Amino acid sequence: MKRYALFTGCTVPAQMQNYEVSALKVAGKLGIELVYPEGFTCCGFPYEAKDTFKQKTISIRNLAVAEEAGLEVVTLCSTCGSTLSKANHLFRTDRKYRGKLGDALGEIGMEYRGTTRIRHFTRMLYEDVGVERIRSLVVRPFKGVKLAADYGCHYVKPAAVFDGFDDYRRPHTLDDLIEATGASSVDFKDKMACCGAALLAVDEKTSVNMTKYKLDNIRASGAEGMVTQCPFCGIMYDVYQNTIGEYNLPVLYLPQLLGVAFGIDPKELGFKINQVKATNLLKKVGA
Amino acid sequence: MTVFTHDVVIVGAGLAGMRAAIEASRQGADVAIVSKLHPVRSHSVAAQGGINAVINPEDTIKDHEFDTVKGSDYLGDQDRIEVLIAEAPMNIYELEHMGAAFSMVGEGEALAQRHFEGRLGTIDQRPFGGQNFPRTCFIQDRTGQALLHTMYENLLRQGVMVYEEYYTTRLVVKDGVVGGVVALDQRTGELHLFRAKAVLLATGGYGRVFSVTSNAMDVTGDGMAMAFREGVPLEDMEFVQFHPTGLYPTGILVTEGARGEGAYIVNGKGERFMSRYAAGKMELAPRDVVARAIQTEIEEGRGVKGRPYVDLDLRHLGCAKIQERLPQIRELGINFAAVDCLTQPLPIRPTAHYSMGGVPTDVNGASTLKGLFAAGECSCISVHGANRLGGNSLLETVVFGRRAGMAAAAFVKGTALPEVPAGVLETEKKRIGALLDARGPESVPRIREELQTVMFDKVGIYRTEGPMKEALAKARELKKRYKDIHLSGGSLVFNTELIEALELQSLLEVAEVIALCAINRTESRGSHFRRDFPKRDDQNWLKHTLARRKGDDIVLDYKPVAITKYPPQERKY
Amino acid sequence: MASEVTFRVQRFDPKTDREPRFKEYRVRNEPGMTVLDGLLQIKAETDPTLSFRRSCRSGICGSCAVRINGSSRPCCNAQINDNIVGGRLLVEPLANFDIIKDLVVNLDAFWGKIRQVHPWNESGEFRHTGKALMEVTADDLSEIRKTEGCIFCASCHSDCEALRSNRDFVGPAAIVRAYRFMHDPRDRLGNKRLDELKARTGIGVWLCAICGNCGESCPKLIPTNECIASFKNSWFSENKAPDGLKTTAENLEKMGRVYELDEFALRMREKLGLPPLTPNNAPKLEPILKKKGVAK
Repeated sequence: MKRYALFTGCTVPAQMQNYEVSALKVAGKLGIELVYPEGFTCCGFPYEAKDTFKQKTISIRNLAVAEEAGLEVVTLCSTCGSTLSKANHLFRTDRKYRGKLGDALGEIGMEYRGTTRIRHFTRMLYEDVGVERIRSLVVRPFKGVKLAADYGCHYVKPAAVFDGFDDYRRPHTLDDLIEATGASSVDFKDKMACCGAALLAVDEKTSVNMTKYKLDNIRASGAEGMVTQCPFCGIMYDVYQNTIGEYNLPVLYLPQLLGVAFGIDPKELGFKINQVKATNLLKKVGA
Repeated sequence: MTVFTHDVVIVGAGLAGMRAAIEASRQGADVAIVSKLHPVRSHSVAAQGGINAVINPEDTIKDHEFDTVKGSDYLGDQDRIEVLIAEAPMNIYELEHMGAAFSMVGEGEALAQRHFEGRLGTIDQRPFGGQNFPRTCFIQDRTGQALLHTMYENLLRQGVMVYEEYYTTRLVVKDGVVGGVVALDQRTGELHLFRAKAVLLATGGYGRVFSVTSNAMDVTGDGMAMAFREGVPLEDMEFVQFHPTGLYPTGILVTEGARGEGAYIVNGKGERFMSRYAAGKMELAPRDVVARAIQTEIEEGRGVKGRPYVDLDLRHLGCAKIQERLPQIRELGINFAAVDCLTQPLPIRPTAHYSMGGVPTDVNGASTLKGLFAAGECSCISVHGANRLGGNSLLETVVFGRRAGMAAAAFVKGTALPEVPAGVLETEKKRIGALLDARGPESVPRIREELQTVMFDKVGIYRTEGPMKEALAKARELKKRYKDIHLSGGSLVFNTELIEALELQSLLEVAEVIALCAINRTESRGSHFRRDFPKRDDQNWLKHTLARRKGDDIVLDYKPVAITKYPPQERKY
Repeated sequence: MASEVTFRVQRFDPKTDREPRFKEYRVRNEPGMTVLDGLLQIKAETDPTLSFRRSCRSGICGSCAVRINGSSRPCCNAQINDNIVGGRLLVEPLANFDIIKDLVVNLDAFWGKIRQVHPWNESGEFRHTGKALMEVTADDLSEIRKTEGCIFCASCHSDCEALRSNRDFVGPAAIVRAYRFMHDPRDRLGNKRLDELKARTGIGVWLCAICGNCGESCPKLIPTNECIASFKNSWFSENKAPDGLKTTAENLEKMGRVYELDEFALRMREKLGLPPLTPNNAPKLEPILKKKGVAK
């Protein structure tokens, strides 16, 4: 059984437990163990505005925790994944930074050797499980269902820290996994548009405008649902959806989609937490 | 149609134009720049290698003078060269004060070793072709870009008015006095009259006369042609510098800095053939010498893989040095030739690069026409003579841009705004309108391409009377055919088809002058190499060519070269 | 090995079109050809009315940026063969600008933002001295080198997600320019540049959505995000951050997490059978966060 350290971050355990529980269920189905090592904190991202060096120190501290546990890190949140990967990349490639970060960690009695690997949950599925195996486990195919893939900016950016994984301009890995369920992943205008979540605490109007832009484009594509893999995006597209307009567009986390396709009872996948109800969509596949 | 009035109107916003504008403005003149490009797009941006100045105590003014005179093949006016060299150091420091961050001694090593402590206090200099001392200051391998941006920033700071993306269609002259220009605002398609007490041309060269060139697509000799049409002479137009290392096939520039850092040039047989042409200086011989050597290798069948190029090999410099000192070259090779110079040599061949000739001016940028000034590549002072040294052109733009700006500001004090010919704007509007309505059978791109090809093939690196006469005849034929061109018409808003047609007029005008001057000069000197007259002939040809339009004809005249300290000797490297 | 490729090019003539339209052109494609070469071929041989900006064709003047398949970049160094998607190549003008004609956009807003940051070295009057003003460490210079390569191609501006929804954002290019001068030891404007930037643009710099597009679209590989973050850090240290971000940071300091694991969340976790988590992570981060000052 493969084991990974699950990095839940802040948003998922407090607000998006549907993402977390479905990820655990899907992992279980795939024979993957997700463990919660003691010691993880926030990834550091929210400190970007205040102090980028401390932000990176927080990230490296988390990586040191995983290194100590001897586990590879899997994140549910794209932003956690990107933040940790950025710090890791800097630590590995910039001698000056490595020294400074090492010192900062040393002051709190910890050490990091730079060995921890970080991947997004989706990427882990794509690379370690594979599209074919996932396809083979589908018992409730989403045949004929049109879904819109929402990657989230930080799933693939900055490209330099993801060692060549996927194409940040036109990524395909999430689409591939969506289509493994039998659904068709529709194309839509400015598919990689940003949800605007980072601006929610700064300028709600701009933030919501960004969300609206993408929702409008998805609606125009005729998609019946949206599949996301980032809790920040989830907040914007699901939680905020009704305040922006009447889209009636269910927003599923990828593991929720996979879970349903694998035959898991939607009740176990936290659908109650989804603000926009996916009832009709689920009915279509007999769940 | 609006009439704008300024003391000084500067046409062109490259380094020379902006430097002149800043100076004239500092002197209190009301200055405006009229440029067909936004200033930071100007072709000065592409200068890579550096800018020469004697700032090392071990170097001497005399050496820089002599290198420049010798490089010019003794055609440069030595009194002007003395000014250029003497004012070089202060101009470097001035650029530095303006904000240019020159590469510093020890910077490269510090960055390579990621060792950051310790102060750096001296501007670094690299060796450049045809010079006996490493006196080329640089900013990595994008000196022109950094200096152009610095100049633009100072232009903003100075608050100079810029009419950007205005294509100047003509000089306005009445009774032998310049009174302004007419320019087309590309954005709105409107034609405007700019009245001024002084007009300063800083429009750059004419590289686009040739099919293979390092020059930007906008480098079409507009300023020279404009002045020439008004009866202003053009000086030494036969002298066209071919840069030895243009990237094959596009001709875009691979900096001389690459050779300065130690790159080899190798032919198809793997020989560092420069040993046969300039054993002393090898790859760092002057540009004309290296360009001819490469052309000879190619013409004699020793190109790489039988193709018209040779190899510029940087591999022995090592990854660290290339990445630190020449990152742009590496980027260029990968993006434009799909070649990574860390692992493969770059394919190169000579490319038309620089115009030594231009509008003749005095040492303060004043031309022979009252109120008309010129600076930079479009002018001929002449400090480059028959061949320019690498690193002297950026220098020329700041030294003489500053002087011309100062002189223009002084000139306008106490000068009344000159009269302009009645109805000049309407006349010009009619001319442009007629062009827009042209529906003949001839195509602008085709005429342009035919011109460029014949000029590169027959008035290029090697020249012979017969082919050059064919080229001249062709240029004249194309000029006739131009009368029957076809344009699509439509709106004037950003009508780049129209602009290209106007630019082609400049190219045709300038090409004819180049060919005629080259045919007449029956000797070889600097960049002008005649197969039928392979020797320099000081007896008959130690003189500048002056070409002047008289109706449909061009008449040639000559004037002596100023020689102060350095009597002509054989030029050997 | 010539082949053919279809260029799908956005056209717009302000005199005759209400909306942009698309036109497809067949382009002879030879290995090594760039997207600009393709556009030049179209203009010379097929459709002379197509307007676009171009100049140096060697990736340094910044004129020719367009959107190729939705991503902005100078097109003179984009190989055609690297950019064919589904058998064709989509060329559109830069986004977040008004179109003048076809692929030519009005860059006034872009230059205006650059001018807002006083993009020059404010070191007093320049003089003809025999000495360089600059006395720097390689560390200082490396900050300048990191950012001075900007060619003002406006690709970052075009790809900016925040600008699409709010054109008040000062934008990445102006911030990068400000950064270049802020790190110049000769410059005397210092924090005044920051203050004025703030005053002129309201919440200007804070409008960055941290989407990361500018960093990816920069043809000169400038670490735009790092520059933007560095300004945020400066203002934050002067207590000039938006309240929302201050709260977020305070939450992190108080709980080691941004969102509280409140009663409701804990009950929900229990109900779903999720593992228990430590509600308060602050002690783990305290030694890191309590350190004074902003490190570089």
